[in-house]
Amino acid sequence: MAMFAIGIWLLFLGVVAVRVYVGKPSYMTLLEYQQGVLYRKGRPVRDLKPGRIRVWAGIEKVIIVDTRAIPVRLEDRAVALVDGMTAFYSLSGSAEVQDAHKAIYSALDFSEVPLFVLQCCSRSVLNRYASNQLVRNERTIVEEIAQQAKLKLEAQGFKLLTFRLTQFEVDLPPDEPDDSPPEPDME
Amino acid sequence: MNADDIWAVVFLLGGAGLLFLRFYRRRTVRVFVTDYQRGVRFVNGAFRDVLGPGCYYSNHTREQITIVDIRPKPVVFERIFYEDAFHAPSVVSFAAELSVGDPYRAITQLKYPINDSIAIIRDQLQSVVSQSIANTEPETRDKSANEITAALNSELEKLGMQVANLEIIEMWSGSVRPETITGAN
Repeated sequence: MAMFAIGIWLLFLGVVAVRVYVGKPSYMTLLEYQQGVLYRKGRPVRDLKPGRIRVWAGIEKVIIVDTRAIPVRLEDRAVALVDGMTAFYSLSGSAEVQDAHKAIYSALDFSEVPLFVLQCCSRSVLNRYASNQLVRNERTIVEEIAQQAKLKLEAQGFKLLTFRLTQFEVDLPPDEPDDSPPEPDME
Repeated sequence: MNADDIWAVVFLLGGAGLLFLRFYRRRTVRVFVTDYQRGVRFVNGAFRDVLGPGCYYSNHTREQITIVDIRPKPVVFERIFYEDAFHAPSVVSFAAELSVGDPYRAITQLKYPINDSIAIIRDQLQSVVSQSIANTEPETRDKSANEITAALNSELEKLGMQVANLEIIEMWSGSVRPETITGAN
């Protein structure tokens, strides 16, 4: 009887030690619009799909990524063209996370990545053209921006869903600073 | 030693262990550092070390661990107007990724490492590009970007920050006449 009590007591101490140094098993559920990455002692172990997951709270942690579409909108931007003219444009689009693992490491806040990529691609592509080229080939240039953005986003775990230029017009060259002396007042 | 003695020893040792854990755990917190983070540990206010990925017990009465995220922050510097080395009016836009290079320096030099660095970078960009001749040729953009990155990092290193993947996404200079550009009209 005494040995039995010792055994129970040792088992109890063992459970306490596991709770303290390993953690306690707990469960969490990823919804259908969520993906996750399981970390154990700070290192990624595996990617997680929606469903119920067992986690050893204490040594394991789940980083959850929302895979719903991220809308992007940029308004009233100007870009200098090759021939000195200035184009004004606005864009809108959306993207979603395809690979949670890549998305987590893509940026401090992964939801900023689609806007950043579209902003860079649109400006760099438009800057390469002259005003007459833009007016004649607007559709082709928009496709070029979308294609460039799609490749960059895929490399970071995203999928481009939609993209369009909501506003687009070309204006005069940027004003040069006026160095001429001011006209004297006529009295 | 009979079974009762063994039982008594095991019971007392186990009880003492539980009491120790009870009082010890009240002062410790478990800190989880992922591989995209670093933990800067201070003991009694003095810097001790930078913790890598893992689980750590921290006695919060004498230790402080600050978690620093080392993932990059994408930033765009749009339409920086300047005069180049030939005093030609120019405009340039950059895209870059800003991240923490040295966690200890970043949190001890700047209250908000990312936001404070952006303002410093903007000033540095203005002065760096103003010292060179604006060149709109696409082939020279990579070379210019590398030079600008090196100049920025030499300043940011003192603050524990760094830029990477800097790209010139827009360049125009008033020294380039429209008639000489291929494709214009």
